[in-house]
Amino acid sequence: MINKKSFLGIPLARRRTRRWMVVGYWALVLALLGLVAVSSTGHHRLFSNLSFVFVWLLVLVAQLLGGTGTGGPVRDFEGRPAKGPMLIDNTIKTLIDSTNRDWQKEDRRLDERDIRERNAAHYKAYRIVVVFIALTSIALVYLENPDLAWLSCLRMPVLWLLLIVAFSLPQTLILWSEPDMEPADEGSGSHESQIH
Amino acid sequence: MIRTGGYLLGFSVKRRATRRKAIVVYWCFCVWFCSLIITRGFETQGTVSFLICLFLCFSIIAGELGGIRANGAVKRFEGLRHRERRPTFQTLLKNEPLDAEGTVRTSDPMDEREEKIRDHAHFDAFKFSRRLSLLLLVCFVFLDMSHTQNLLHIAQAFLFGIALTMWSLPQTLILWSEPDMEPADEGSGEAQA
Repeated sequence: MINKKSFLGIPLARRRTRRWMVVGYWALVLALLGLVAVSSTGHHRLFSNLSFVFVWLLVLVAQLLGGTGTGGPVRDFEGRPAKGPMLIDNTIKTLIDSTNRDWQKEDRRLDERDIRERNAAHYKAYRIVVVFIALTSIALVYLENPDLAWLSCLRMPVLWLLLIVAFSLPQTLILWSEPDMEPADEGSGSHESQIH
Repeated sequence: MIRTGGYLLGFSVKRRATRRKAIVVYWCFCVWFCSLIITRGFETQGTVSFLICLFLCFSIIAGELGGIRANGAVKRFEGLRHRERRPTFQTLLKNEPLDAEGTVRTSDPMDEREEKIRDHAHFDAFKFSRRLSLLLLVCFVFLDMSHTQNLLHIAQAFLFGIALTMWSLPQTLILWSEPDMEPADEGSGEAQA
């Protein structure tokens, strides 16, 4: 289900590295959501002026892990050919690795195993998202309380978090749970040698 | 994937056409219920009524479709765990089979085909929910500019609608798309003959 050896300079072959990348991704999301919360209070003029930039960054970040035909580490879930990389991926990739253009020729068709993994990841993610939405709607009820008015700045970040969770949780689960790539390659190598 | 002999809102689940009617009735009810909450619930009764409605919707109405609980139209998504229990009066009324030791055994794990159908339904449901949440955010951003004072009520109602949709969408897709049951039974009967 993962179609790249590296993404934004981070090697994806080892699960441990991938997990660090996922942790970094969610830390980035939370940091951006924190900035959106600060900007929505209106006390900091600089942040208020930049709120549109934060929102735009969140839209880009939501697609960063792939899965939706945007050139991320996870294959497109529909198996469609890539229309082209998204802006941020292209820019950073050009800066880091301008010679590697293999991602443009990737075969994105999904085989039966990929489809099974994709659907299983969506099944797990779906259950988490349902619980998350139920909790969010209850949390929003409590944010209505006048005593908790100071928490009202969390309203927009919580909804943004909902969107990002909906967009990138299956990808997160896939990147988190896929085993290391090397043993499989070695295995196939030994299998080939056995055949010869 | 669908429990044989099950009923959904009084409709038999054996035939696809009947199942589809039941689903249409179910979703009409959900839409009516959500619109009632949006227009009246929050303004007049507040938090407690919201939580009660949430609980009722999640546990009773959506549970009728199955998937999240054992006795709905669709098999429980996790599969039924193996259980042994002493026969009760209800067991005898339902005429549940007893083993040689006189206990009731219930075990109905999902087979590979059922797991495939379940996961695929969740994938399709997730795709739909993703678009729905995007739509929610776009609406929310526009409303933020025009009706800021009502925003919190609208957000709750939207989220409530999404939660209810997500709670029962995979079951809906399964009930909608699974073929009729009778022809398969007839086919197996013929094959056996």
